[in-house]
Amino acid sequence: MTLKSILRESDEQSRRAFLANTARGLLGLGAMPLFSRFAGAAMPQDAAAPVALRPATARNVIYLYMSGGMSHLDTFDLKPGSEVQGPIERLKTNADDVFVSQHFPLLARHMDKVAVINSLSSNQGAHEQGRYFMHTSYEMRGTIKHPTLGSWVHRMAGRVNPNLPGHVTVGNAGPGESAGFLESRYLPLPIGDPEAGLQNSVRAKGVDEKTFARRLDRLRRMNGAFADRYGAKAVRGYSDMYDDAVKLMSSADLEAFDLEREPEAVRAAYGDDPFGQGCLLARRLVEHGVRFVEVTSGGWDTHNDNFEQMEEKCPVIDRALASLLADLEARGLLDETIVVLATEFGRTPEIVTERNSGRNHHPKAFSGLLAGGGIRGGRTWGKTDERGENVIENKVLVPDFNATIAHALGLPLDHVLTSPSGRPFTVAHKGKPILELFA
Amino acid sequence: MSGSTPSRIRAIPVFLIGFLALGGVLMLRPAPASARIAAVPAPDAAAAAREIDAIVARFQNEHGAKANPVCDDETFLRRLYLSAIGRVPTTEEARRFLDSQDSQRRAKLVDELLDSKGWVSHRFNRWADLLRIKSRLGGQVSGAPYEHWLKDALATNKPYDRMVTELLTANGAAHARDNGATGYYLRDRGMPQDNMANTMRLFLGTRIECAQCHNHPFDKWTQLDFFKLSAFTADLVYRDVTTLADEKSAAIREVQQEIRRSGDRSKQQAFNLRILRGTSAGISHTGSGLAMLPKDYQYDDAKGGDIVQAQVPFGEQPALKVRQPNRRQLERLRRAQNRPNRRGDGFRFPPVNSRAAFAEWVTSPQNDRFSAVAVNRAWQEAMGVGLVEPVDDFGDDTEAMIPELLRHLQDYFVATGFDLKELQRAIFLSRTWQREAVTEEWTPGEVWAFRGPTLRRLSAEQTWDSLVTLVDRDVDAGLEAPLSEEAERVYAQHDRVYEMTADELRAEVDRFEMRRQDPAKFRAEERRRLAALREKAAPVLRELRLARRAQDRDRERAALAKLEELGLPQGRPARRGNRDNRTVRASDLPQPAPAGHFLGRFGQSDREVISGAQLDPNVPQVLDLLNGFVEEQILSNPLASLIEELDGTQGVEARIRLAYLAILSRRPDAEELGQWRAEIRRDSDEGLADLVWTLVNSHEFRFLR
Repeated sequence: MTLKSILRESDEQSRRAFLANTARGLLGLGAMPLFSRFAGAAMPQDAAAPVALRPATARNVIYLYMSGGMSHLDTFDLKPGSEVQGPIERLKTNADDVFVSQHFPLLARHMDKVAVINSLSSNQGAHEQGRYFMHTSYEMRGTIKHPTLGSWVHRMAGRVNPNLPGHVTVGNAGPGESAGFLESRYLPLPIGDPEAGLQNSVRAKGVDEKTFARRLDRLRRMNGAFADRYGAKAVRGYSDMYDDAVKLMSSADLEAFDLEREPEAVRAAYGDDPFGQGCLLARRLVEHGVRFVEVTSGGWDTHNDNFEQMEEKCPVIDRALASLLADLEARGLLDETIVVLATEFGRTPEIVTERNSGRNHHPKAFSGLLAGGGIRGGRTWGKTDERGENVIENKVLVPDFNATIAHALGLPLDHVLTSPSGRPFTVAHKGKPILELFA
Repeated sequence: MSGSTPSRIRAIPVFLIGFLALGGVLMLRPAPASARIAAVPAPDAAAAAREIDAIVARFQNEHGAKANPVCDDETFLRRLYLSAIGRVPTTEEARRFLDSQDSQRRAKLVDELLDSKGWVSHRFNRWADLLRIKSRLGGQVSGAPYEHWLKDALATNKPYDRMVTELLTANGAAHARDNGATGYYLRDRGMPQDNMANTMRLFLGTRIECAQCHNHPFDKWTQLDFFKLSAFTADLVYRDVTTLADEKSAAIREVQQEIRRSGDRSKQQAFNLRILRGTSAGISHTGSGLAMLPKDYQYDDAKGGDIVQAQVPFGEQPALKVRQPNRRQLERLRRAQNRPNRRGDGFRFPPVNSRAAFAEWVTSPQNDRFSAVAVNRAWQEAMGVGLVEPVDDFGDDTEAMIPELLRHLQDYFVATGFDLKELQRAIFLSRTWQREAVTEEWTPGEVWAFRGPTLRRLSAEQTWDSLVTLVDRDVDAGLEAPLSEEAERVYAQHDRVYEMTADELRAEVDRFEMRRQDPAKFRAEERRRLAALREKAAPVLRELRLARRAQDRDRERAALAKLEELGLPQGRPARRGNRDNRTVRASDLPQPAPAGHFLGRFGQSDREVISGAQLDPNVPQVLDLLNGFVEEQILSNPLASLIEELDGTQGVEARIRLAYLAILSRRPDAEELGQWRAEIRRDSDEGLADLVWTLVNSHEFRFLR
């Protein structure tokens, strides 16, 4: 019971409380027998301080998520001449060893920056479980919620720009994507529509600066009186948050959320669609010191009309990703930013003809991309058999993939964070980073 | 921290002794419930409240702590409305109470609110967080019947032990009328062990989930304990397209056989998805009481592949006669175990109602922990700190901060037949609950003197529902009945399949198949079909339009029912705002509210884990109050109740009083009145807008005193 009680105290609040209580106990102030069970416990470190990082090759992450299960066979793991391939042709790229589908002509000119992982493998064949696993490295459980990679990074590495959130999601974040057992401050700031930016961050229509200032003044007076009378920590927390929000409203960093500031040509290059504009927003946010940005592209669940859908979906990714890589490189940001393209699973080699050539879920083998942030591009890692059905070389499990990203950021993979219920967890859940990708 | 004082460890209460028994062998039993009930004169909430006060006073005396004064009427009013029905009172409700001279006005208001629709709504939010209620349960199973079950249980004040029994023994189709309790298991589809861990935590305050994968590192639970426990529900079948033979109509059987014989796979799929899934998705198998240990079982107390019999980890073993599998079954099981997906092959031990036996054990008055956990949660919700903390981690050495009080609350709860509403009534009537708020925070391990309830931020739902009350003072009148239109739609769809003739079924399958095969052709056909229907229903559609224009809800409902009958369902009746941002109570919105909703920003649980709600501040929340909701829904909305009332009120002072009453449920003091009078004299409209904006953004609005 004793050890359990102590470990359970590991969230920051209770640790502080624990320290305060221990001090009180030591000083004989309000000491109580109940408390003796803590006697002799080592002083836990302050859990909310960022973790000491190892040498890192990247500082930021732009994480592009293909929601629904992107077909590996029709994007980055083509099998020309095979019966499983269907009508899609293979395209040469600017890297010798790397091929992409015919739907990626722009990206083909930037594959020298990209490492294609063709040996990803998962054991989760349903969407929700699959995306949960991909995002957290842990299988979904009914009793605990695990933080997503973005929340892990935010928690372990801290913010780059203290005025901006540490972690932003653009587009529809899926169910179960959260800070898990971490405190809510590690939740991502969600941006639904990249063109709308940060909601409510400008004064409402008809409220001029003078009016706003006057109201804030009245509010401070009123809240000050309340805080004086009820000096609870939660009350002070809200006073601070009002200060933060008002600061952000007038902060120059707020422009990070404003795509109107981009030249028309740049906006057009990324593509006039939510995903393209989301990638552009991601670049702006990273530039302003947001450490982790996830952009979601939906609709990859191609049970029906797989090849027609590829024709529609791939060009969106092609434009956006090619522009993003070129843009990051031109701004000198590619070296410090690891760009990830991930999905929950691949799709079956079998083409289901009665559903107008659809493909079903296939978690055993699929593809993802890593670029920038110390990753050596222009090559392919891992291999599937001639049908794209099984991994036959350098299998990369989902935790390994995430461990590689964490490794690039310098996050210690063995650093244990304890949930409030006393259970130990690590970023990437014991996954092994693919060190060869950095060479 | 003032008010907290050292405690002496008291004698271990009787009920704990039972839990000292290891390995499920009961050494000592607590006194039977009936014997304990005799100690309580009669289920009388006022008497129970006096006893609460007496016990707390003794405890405070012993520890030299002083209770806070009883709060004033204004504080009581706001606290009771928010605690009992989850929103601030309207100005009319506030005046009615504050102007009352009745010496019994507090007790009367408690009774009134506990019997209101608002109470059901607010209790629903609380239980939705505990049960992780979702409007979509996955695999095309609607959560609406589960929501209906919960609202109905609350509206009829179903005894708590009944509620829990219905959840644990739920069986049958999820979409069948009044069978929503099946949502409890379907919520954790494919994860019966996780569900069991949640059951133990939720109803018995016992954290055993670690033992799912390994012996508990700090507690006594072994993995073997967990497997034995999970044997009560391990054979649960999450039905998908497997309607049991005796549940099928003759027509369904006929068409199913016909399609099977034809060998047309596409048609079979269409039949499964369209006809069977809607009727059969649900739960079956009452439980075998047996489970097989995994092949890689790692401890010495048993061997991998052993079959273990259901056993509870503490208390008296429930009576259960398992039926051991015969040799043939064992053979089949062994073969199945060598295949990777053992559950996939459909092997189950014979059912012997082990889930019912388990439910009986959980909810028995002899299972002291069952009532202890329930009353402790209720106490914590009302007072801000539980008698046992954390509320869901009772252990053998757990001692309540005031054991006598926990005992008293449990006795009262059991004596009233597990009546959660009576329990809440007793707490609300107590002077202990009616005292001025404590502003210090409780810290783990510290003894708490319960000088009064703690100051707390309003939950996401309380915040939303209160703001919505400012927009629409009649919001509670619009609350959906326990049976929502969505649940009714699901039931009707389920029932319709059983009433279909073989020809209707064939037509339905063909239509669905076409939709999957050739969506363009399907849409064209569907347009033609609907056009014909619409022509036939033209008079009713006109009636609907007229009813809506006249805002006559009864006429509207009648027209909608007629259209449903004609095969032209119109969905939900029109309401203010778009579907997800409607200014209705949180309990009538999708569960949980969709991504990006106000409720999510303010920490509504995403319903992934038990008690997932958060009260932490964040920037988007504050931005919403600074520049969003208040401006859009109230200040710029001439139809907002608060604005209407302000417009209809003459005189600066009366308007200031009105705003304070509507938003903070109190009168302004002289200084506040003076300040705002000066502002509003200078510019009436601007000044009033400033006032409303400031009060809604104030800490006083956000926090419950």
